[in-house]
Amino acid sequence: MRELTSESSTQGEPLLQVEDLHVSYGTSAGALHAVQGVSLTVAPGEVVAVVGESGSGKSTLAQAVIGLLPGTGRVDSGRIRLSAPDGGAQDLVGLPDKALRAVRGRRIGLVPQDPGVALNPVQKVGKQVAEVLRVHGLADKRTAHLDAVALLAKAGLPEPDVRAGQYPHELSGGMRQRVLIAIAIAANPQLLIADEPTSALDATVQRRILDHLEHLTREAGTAVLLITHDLGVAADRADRLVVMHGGRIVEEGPVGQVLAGPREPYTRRLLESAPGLKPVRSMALRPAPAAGESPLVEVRDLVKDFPLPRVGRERRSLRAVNGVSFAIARGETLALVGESGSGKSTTARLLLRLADPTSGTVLFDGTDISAISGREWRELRRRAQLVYQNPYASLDPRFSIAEVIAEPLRAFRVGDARTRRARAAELVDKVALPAAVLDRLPAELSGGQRQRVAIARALALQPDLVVCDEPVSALDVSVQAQVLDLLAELQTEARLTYLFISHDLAVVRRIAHHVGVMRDGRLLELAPAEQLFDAPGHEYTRELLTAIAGQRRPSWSSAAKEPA
Amino acid sequence: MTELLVREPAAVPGPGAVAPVAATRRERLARLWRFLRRRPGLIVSVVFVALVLLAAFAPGALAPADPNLGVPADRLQAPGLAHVFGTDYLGRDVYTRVVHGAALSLQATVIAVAVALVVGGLIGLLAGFVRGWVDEGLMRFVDVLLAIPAVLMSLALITALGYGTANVAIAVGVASVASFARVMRSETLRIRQSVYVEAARSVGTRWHVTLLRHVLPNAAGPVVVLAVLEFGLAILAVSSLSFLGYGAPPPAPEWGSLIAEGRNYMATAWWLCAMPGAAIAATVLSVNRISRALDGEWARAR
Amino acid sequence: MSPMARYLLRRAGMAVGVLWAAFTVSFVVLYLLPGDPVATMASGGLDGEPLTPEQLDALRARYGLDQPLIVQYGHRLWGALHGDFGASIQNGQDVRGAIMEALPPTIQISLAGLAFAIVVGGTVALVATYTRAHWLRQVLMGLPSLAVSMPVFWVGLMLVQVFSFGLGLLPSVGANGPQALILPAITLGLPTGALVAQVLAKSLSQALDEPYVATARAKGVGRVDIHLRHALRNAALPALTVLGYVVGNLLAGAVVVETVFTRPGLGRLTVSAVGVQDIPLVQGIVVFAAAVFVVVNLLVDLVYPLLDPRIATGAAA
Repeated sequence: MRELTSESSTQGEPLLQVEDLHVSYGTSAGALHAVQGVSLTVAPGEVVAVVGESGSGKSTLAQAVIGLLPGTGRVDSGRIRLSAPDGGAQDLVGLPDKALRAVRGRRIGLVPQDPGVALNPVQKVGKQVAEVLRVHGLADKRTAHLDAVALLAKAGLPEPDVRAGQYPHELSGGMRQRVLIAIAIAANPQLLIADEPTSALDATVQRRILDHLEHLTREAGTAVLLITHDLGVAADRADRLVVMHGGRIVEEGPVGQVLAGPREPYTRRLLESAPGLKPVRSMALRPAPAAGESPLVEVRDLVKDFPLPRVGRERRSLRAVNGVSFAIARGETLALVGESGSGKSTTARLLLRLADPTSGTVLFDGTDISAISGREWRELRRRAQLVYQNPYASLDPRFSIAEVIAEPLRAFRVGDARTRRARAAELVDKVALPAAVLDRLPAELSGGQRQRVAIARALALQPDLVVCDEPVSALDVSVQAQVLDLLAELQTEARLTYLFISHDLAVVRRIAHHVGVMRDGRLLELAPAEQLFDAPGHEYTRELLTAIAGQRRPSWSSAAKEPA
Repeated sequence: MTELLVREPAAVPGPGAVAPVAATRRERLARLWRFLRRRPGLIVSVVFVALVLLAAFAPGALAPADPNLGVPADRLQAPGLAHVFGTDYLGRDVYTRVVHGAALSLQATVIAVAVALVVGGLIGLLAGFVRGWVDEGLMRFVDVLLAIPAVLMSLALITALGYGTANVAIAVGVASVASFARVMRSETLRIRQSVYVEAARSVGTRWHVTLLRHVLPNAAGPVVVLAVLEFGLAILAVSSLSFLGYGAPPPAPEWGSLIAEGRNYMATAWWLCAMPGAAIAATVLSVNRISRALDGEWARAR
Repeated sequence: MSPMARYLLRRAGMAVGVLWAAFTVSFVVLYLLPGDPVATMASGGLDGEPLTPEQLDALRARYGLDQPLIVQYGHRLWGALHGDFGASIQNGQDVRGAIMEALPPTIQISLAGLAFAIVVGGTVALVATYTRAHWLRQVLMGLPSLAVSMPVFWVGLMLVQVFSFGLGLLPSVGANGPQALILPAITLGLPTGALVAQVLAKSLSQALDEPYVATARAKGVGRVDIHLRHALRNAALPALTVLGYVVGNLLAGAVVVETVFTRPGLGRLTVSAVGVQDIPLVQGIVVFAAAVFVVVNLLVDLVYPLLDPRIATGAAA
């Protein structure tokens, strides 16, 4: 089926033809060229994925096509030709606003990035779907509502007539994304632009929504321009792949061809870093934890309740962590995996005693630390460190990098100012950053560099345990791989013990010795990594594993055989 | 847009390259120049405020004559070459009186802002950092201050304290304690809950060190912006009260009372009201422009 | 009890608390700080006749100023609970009566000023965010900064200068007829209008940058509809909040405006009360202003859920 559509497309006139497009943003320091000479075509019914990391210009490209460049952005030159149903083609560049409005929504639909904020919060969702029909004169006041309900049903929302009368905040993220899909397909456009349509959603939800979207567009013969940072998603969904980097197209071609034989080094690197596509194991280099030694950390029956606002006299609480027990051996990495709200981060904070458990015990190096305070609590800070998810928020914007890294040393009065700086320099070197960063401010560093700084800070006091809370999820994939490798290296060197928190099984696979799967505060399964990936014991683990993008195409040949 | 804000040098295989940002002194100066070149209004504002401050501390430098000495023969002369702002009903030069009036008016303003900054800042810092019932109690108190219009609060204080420039200043300062307390508290809370403060706690930094090294420096920015803005509002409030006659007794020149005096000659001598008022408006406008520049405009203009 | 009713009851309880606190704060300020109103009357007196010590004591006894402060506080609070703020020292008139008598003209200019502020401020904000002409946007957004920088009394005087003395169009003083209302209302409403314009323009341009506006544009919705149907309703909340907070300022502005235009009203009453240290009257006015503030903000709280469904369910939860 895939093969058929892409073959038929090569014969006829392309639906969308972008020719030598240049887009720039005006800034006070001069123009910033976000898209530089991009040409691409989309055939009717074809799915083209534009893949790139942040700053590659892929979103700008999408926004230019639909004529919605934000702020100071403008098309400097080039053409964007959209073929009309009656034959001829129309250049969208320089089209007056009124003519463009007739194209938007009617001939090009958009599925935007973040469903959390892409719907008007003060308007009922049914009305927001109906608005497309009203604007393009496809329904009158009376029929629009009924049509909207039908569209919501088509987008896969349960109880569409109830949902139509609800406000966006009353729906879950996945449901909101389905509303946005209903809006995008309402006028039956020839082209759908999906700009990172599911990046903000949990993996299992993401998969279901992409499946449904694919089903809808294949059925209606709608062409899709899929913008994504996730090579796995692109590989699963697209006919053709366009790889963008630095505002230019570096490589393009049929998905199988690009995946099987990438020509450009950049594509190759992207491919290697994409966790879902290639199950890499860097574990072989690392020593297996010595058997027989007592574990460094052990938690037993950990429970944490958070109080909720009262309803009447009734006290309510949310059990975020529910009877979790595990142990981590010295020099080992335990990864806790789960979707948002599974209680994995709370577990980590309880273990570090940054939050107090409701019940249960935490043993650190054989000592019960579940209720310590004062000096003992501070002493624990020396031995157990935390690396945060967001390297943009975890460094004080006013501190120089040297100050950031030396802060733990200062707190424990280790050495004087001079030796602390020397130690900071040493640590910066250890995390493979140039010494020049010592006097920079965090804002002057990239995300990956900041995360290295955060790691250096965590290592300053030579701790036994480092807890990494989603340490790479805010980073681009190629940077992710580098940071993960660094963590593995440091572990071997200093025999560190890691507790690794992640929502991403593909990332965990690279780094963990043992993996625990959490959902709704419970630890569902805990097994050695190999075992968990090869023979998952729990139904939910299997679901998570199949949701990893990029698996639908283990090789080109098997994908071709796949029935549509 | 997001992808433009967070540029990752992904092209570089190693982590070696540091993002190119203005780091040297020369680059920073160049950036400052670029920033100012596009904002002539800001330059004018800075120059004007500098002149007003000069007038406040060394009025003689700008207007050497005695502000209280008139030449009866020259009474009620319209603005011209001899008297740029004209003369009043006693033949006193209005320009000289406006310049010398800056001293009293600005002294009162500075006292007012200082009172509000110190008292409000401490209340906010305490409420935001200690939390719990201290926060609850202090903020309820601040709510009450907010519920009483500032001018009425000032008038109540003047009723109790009596007339005079210093009392007017205190009255205006107390009336704006509430806004400082709120901004300081919300800033403190924001920073307290920020990840980097938790990170500091989790590496073992003690709370008073956190307060001094993380919370205060990061909270200071918005509070300074508010202080500059509040400076403009205080000039207006002080001159209002002096217009109503609660400030320094005549013949001491004060911006508000100059206008009150001129009011009696409005039909014949428009400049007596217009000139001092224009001086006030220009000062407040300049101060507000500077406050706007401090409030993120600089940070945004990259 | 329904969640909404409970929400309202809680808000009303808080409002009473604020009023009690406003009474207490004004009591502390007026009675605890140095300054003896009776002595002031004794030294200057309105008719210049110094009073004998016996007369002073009699006066103190009459106003209860000879009792311990805590007794005075209890006594006055008890009275205030019954709407009795005592008698004016100035002329012995009942404080509540004096306020009520002075109120109608002040309500007139306040409402007219508020209407001016909302209409003009709202229009400026809408046009400034809608227009594509860069210069027009710059000019319109410059107006509010200019308006908040000018002293209110000076604006009033300049308006009088131009429209009464210069053009002879409108009366400069007094409170006779609707014509006499125009200049005071503009003077009073200008700073509030500037604030409305600034806040609304800021929240409108923020709303226009929100992803849901991009969604609407991607649907093909026209600019006017996006502005009025999508952005304005989302942007109205911050403006409403600010409006709730500045209504008290209208009352305070009346102090200056009524002086400038020589109009009778609460503002003039305040000025004369401060002038003779008429403490009971000043306290009555302060508590009255706080009551107005509290009631207006209670109303604003009630309007919120109508504008933003997220708040409605938040209150119910």
